[in-house]
Amino acid sequence: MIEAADQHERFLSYFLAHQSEIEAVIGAWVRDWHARQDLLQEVALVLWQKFGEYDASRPFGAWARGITVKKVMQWFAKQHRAPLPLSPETIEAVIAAFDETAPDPDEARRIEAALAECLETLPEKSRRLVRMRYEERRTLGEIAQTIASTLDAVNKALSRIRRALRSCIEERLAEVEP
Amino acid sequence: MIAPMNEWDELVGRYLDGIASSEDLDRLQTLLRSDPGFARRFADAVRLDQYLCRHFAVTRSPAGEAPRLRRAVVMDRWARRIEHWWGPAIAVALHIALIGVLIRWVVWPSPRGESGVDVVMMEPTPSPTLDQPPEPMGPRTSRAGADTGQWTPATSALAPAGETSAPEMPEGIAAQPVRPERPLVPAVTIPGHWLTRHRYPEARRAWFARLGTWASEADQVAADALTRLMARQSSDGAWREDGSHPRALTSMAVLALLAHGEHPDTSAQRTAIRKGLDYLLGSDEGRGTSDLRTRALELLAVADAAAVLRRPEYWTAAKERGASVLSQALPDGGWGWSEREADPVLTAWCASALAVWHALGSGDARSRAAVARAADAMDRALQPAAGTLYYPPAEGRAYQRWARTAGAVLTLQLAGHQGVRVQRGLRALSGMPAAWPRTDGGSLEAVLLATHAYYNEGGPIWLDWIRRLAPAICHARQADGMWSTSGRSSIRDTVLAVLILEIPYRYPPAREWPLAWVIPDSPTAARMAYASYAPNPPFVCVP
Repeated sequence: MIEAADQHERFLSYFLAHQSEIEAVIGAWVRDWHARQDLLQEVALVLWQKFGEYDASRPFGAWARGITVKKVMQWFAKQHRAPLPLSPETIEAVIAAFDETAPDPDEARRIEAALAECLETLPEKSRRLVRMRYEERRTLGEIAQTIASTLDAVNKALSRIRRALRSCIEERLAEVEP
Repeated sequence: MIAPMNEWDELVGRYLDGIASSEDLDRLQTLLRSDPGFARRFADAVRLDQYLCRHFAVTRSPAGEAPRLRRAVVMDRWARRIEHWWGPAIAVALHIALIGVLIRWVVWPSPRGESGVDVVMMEPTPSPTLDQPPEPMGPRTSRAGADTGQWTPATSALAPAGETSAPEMPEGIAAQPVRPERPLVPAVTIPGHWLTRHRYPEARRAWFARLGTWASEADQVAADALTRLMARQSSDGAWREDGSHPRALTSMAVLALLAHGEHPDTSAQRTAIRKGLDYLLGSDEGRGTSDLRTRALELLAVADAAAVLRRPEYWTAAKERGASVLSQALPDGGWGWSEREADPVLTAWCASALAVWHALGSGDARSRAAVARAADAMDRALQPAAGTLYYPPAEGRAYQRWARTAGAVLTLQLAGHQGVRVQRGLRALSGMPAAWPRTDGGSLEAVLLATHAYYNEGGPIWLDWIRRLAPAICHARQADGMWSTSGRSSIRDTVLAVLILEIPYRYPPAREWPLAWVIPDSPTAARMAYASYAPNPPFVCVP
């Protein structure tokens, strides 16, 4: 019983530390927010069921990413109307990139904190765009209609904002590093 | 080098925002396979997108929810209708006229208000005990006795000038006037589990401030109805009436009293709650009934009591009833009146009871599995031809489709689903009018299940539903303050109506539970209530 509780405890500590990264991997293929939440549930369950097979000498993040990608592919196989947007060969390249750039859990927390601060520094117009996209979860078409603009212009504006946020986060992380 | 970077970012942006063309996808795949630098940039962009989703998922308010179904159900309808310039123009003119009428109403009050009568916004009055039966008050009559011919919100009580002192409130709860424009209440310490955190007066006030005045008015109607219910409690603690199992009726009444969230130790309702629970735990009447719905309702009531009152006997009773409900699950999932097929309404009650029991930390892993299997059973009953989550009634009673569809959606939500299947079910439910009484013979139970399903979904579709339904339910009260579907005041109908009005604060929406459901100590659960699994923790409510 104690062993099972320890196992549960250990799994939770790993899972919580990597949850954001797992969600990001799902998000690389599945763009619908609700479908992503459903998939996260399923991935969490599979990870817990397979946790006995996990070799603790290897990184948990890489192990979890591998299982997540398999689950994502199974999900697409079940969705007859939604083909996998990226080919299987591309998946390997993407996963390799995720492995190379994965932040450790502490760094991920610092990035999220920096992002919250950086969002505050955005001009009002940009903040409004971000809110429409991520808080109200509007499509680009709806945003373009609301602000009387074009799809292309909204795409360019959001790309600029994301770039600005990335630079801002990098600067803030560099400030706190010794 | 800047130009390609910008071009890359826009390409990735188009992919993330769902507007990538097939040429974009081809180019994206080529770059991902051939250029590791681009692949790393792609991974970073996806990660940033995820952090943004997460940031706004935590901070967003119900009003900022995704307008997915509103788009499908409401906006499309509007978009189809507004085809001419004069349509919006007439709408604007009507709004201006309406505002004019409202201004006139507020600035020049009716002559009745001129004879030394003040309109006072009062705090919900503490309910009288059984020894002090409530003063009879008709639904269409204000306290000043004037029949307005309309439903008068009980919060705007008319009282003679000089007699406007606040009612005596339970210890520790300050009496304050309720005004919609008031800022949110300061942090206060209230007892209880995270499941029950919305229901205490302080939390409710904060919630009402966001929802609007109709919410506090509906709350006052519910409070008034609870005093009527308490007056109908038998001396042994049970509620009885023909056609209802006393244990089921008592469980629902206890649930309605607990859900109203008065302080469990100081509330005027505590005697009624404890007597009801003593009956459920101690009486032999109907004990061990084979009626599964009654057992599920008992589990809900005692589990809720265990969360609020934290007494070991409630915990033990919940455990016993939980095991009983679990043992009756069908082999293929769900619960039914026969072994042939699961009944969505019964399944929704059993799944709700087990979900609450599990969220409290029952420690019985079978609950999660049983609810997951029940959701699968609901999914298997999907009507592929209809393309919606529509469950045909077993005995050909057409109106049952709402109850069955709502029960199925609720079960799916409780199992942690939010995706396509739930959205289909909600779309099917959008044909159900947010009105009461119903001309199609639909039941209050169906309305209760549907309201719960909309609440779990949240966002505009929920607000749109409850804003229309709550005033209709309030207005349907009879002169004795009770509800009826047959012309005679009914305890059952009244309890169901109150439970509908209490849904906005009874539990957090199920969409906030999913990870807690898969892994009881998940960050979702932790964020909601850091101390929920500690014994008897104080819960600090910071609206």
